[in-house]
Amino acid sequence: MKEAYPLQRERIADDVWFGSITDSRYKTNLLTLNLALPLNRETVTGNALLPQVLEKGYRCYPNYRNFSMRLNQLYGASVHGGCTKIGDNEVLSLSISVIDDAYALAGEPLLKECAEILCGLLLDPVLQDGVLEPENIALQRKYLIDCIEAEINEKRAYAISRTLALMFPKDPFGLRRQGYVEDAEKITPESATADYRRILDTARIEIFHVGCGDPATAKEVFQEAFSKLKRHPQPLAVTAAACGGGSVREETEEMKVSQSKLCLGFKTGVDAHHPMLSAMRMMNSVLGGTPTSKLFLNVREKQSLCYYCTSRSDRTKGILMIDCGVERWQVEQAKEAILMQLKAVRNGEITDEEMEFAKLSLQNSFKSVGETPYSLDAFYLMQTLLGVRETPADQARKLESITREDVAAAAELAQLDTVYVLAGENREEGGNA
Amino acid sequence: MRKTVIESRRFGEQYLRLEHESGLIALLYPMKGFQTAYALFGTKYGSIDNEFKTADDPDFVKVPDGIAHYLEHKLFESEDGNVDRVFAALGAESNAFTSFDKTCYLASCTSHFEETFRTLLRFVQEPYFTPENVEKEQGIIGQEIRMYEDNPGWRVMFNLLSALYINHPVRTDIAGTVESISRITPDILYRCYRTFYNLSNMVVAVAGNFDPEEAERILSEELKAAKPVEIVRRFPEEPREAGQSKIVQHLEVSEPTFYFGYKIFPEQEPAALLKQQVVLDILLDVLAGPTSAFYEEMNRQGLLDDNFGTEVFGERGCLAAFFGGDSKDPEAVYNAFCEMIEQRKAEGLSEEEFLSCKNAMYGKLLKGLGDVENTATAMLSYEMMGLGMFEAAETVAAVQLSDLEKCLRDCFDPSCRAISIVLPLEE
Repeated sequence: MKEAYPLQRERIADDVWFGSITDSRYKTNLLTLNLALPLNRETVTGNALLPQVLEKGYRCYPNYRNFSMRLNQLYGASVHGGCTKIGDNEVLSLSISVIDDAYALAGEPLLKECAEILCGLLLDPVLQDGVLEPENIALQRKYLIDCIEAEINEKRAYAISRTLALMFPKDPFGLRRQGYVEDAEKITPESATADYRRILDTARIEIFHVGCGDPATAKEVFQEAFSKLKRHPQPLAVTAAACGGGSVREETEEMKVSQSKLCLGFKTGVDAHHPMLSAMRMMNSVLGGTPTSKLFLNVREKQSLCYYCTSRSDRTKGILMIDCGVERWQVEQAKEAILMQLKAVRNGEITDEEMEFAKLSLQNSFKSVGETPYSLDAFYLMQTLLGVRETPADQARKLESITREDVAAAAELAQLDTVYVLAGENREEGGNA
Repeated sequence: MRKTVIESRRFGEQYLRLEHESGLIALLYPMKGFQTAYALFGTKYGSIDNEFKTADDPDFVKVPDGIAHYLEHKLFESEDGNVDRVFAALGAESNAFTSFDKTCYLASCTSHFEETFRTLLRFVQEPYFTPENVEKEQGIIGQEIRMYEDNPGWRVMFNLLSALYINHPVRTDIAGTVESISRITPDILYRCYRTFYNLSNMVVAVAGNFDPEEAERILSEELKAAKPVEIVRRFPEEPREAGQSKIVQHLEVSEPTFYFGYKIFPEQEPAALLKQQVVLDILLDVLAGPTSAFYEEMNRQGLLDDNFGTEVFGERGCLAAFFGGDSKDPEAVYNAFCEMIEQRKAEGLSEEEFLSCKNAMYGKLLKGLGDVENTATAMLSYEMMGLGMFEAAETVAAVQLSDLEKCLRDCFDPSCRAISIVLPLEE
């Protein structure tokens, strides 16, 4: 039995869509305003700056301090700006989360005001002589540069980002979400304003409401605001699924760190529309997605090489990433151990129990999607942008028919593309540095 | 089991509190419409409990650093192998965490609640430590320790604790060191287990999609009542003042990162401690949150950005106020902060900024109520403090501006503060 698709989505202006999931379990309302655009090197840095600039205030509350004061008065409504990559496209977003009107101590219409705030942030920024406020641009430019440079602070994330860049040197997917320092340095109030106008003019806009309040309240606000705009929306990029088959790239980077990191990047070509998607999900779970997976049981539990050793598959591009933290002198050993487990999956050396555990684990995850407004919002935004109209339950059901042979075949599709090592301190076997 | 209903009229919410004959407290909070049931089984035993005895033991024992966390890892093993397999067969997820003052085991599921809950209760009550399985964990936890050694956010916080505290074990890393964990044996693990995993020292909390009557039945069937033990913990004398005023470490980072804070003498009585924490939380937001003149000025000068935040650090017997972020010049931020504190002490705080931060705090508490995981965790934490989870909202509602002003005068003494800085490596 297929249940109804819970997302009610309609067009409210030229390529502006309003989607809503009403759920009485929550005590809050979450509104997100998402601007989807193709990723490219020329615009990625300027685009990354925009949510940071816009989230700080707008004409009604031009100063961040006053704006924060207003948000506090709305019972700590929280505003967040960010950007994410989805395949060869990116999404710039502004969101606001607020308690439901029912809990406002003096009956204030919180949802309506929050919708107005979100519209204000996007459509009514503070301008000075026709450009975005220079002082704010200068501050946010510095902050963006700090953020780009700070990537190195989180070694695991840094290693994965480096691996992706090596895997996709000429492909939009290899671009860094936050852009590049050399481009950020060139940003001026004028260029940022031009970027702002371009984004507003060309992006596909997806607005979501997830919460217990009445979506009509929010929809009216957005409809009114966006109907006045004359825009020229551009189509999104059609993501080219990763395809492997080339020679394996190996790179080692030296760094003064205590723990070394090993990343293995694979191209699978299995994207959201690929017939092997469910098999790939099962394969990832069997190989390294859970505490009963082959990587966990062998590389961690049996060989005690790592604390974490996991795999993740990405359906927006069709890749698989395996990574672990390991002693430098054991990097090679860890790599062999990982590849041996992958080989076992390819050979179909998968027990009934492993198949069952993988399926149950994935089904549990799909059933948990609705537990918070944030995960629900993220799931349906992703489905919408990928053009897949399936609920978590639909996707869970598809796992039922996956066989051991399907999983082995999915593992065959994973072609090793890049081996990246972040090489840290060298300790002798058994000794301490 | 003695049963009471813990209720919030303000939110129209309630949960059950059961007192098992063993002394264990079980908290049951069914939440309509949710798919997940989230169960926690916790003991009031963390990294700071490193010197103790039971009333029956002749002598105190001082155990190696990191042993509570080590024990947490090892409890997943049973005679039949790893308990992860049992959870996996149910499609359930399990995990655990160790903090300074507690260790918690969790299981979450969207079906098979009965078996999942039974499995959680059983495995925590069935230790199985052998020389081989204890030895095997050295490499795994060793890598966990290495991972944290490279984490600037983690290092900068622990360095601050080690500067603020002179003797208290909160100054030591929760996971210990590669050296300290090498001294852990099955015998010593069993002694810790027998002391702290006595049911009278433990709390169960379940939230979400489950039937409370079923949960109660499972509890009465699975809990193995043993004679309650009286635990005597020994903590060294801790002066009021900070041990050192500044601590610096160099790591591979792009920009300096810092944490500074004040060591505060915590109230002893639970309700008074909760009020102290709530007042402090609102006060930190007033002083240095996004609505403060201090943050606005630091941001304008390019010294602070969105990464800056405030935090109340509250663990059993310890309380501190923390401020942390990234900055090209942490010392300038710190100096400006210290100056601001003296100024605010002299000038007082405004009603408007107080009310705005108080409102935000109320909203934050309410938001947490619609979340299964957060609800279970909050119930358990408050119970371990000796409180019900709705008391926080009532405490927030009752806070006055004068409470903040008193806290500012009492808790922000220059002799009790320190700054920790992580700097980029020198070329």
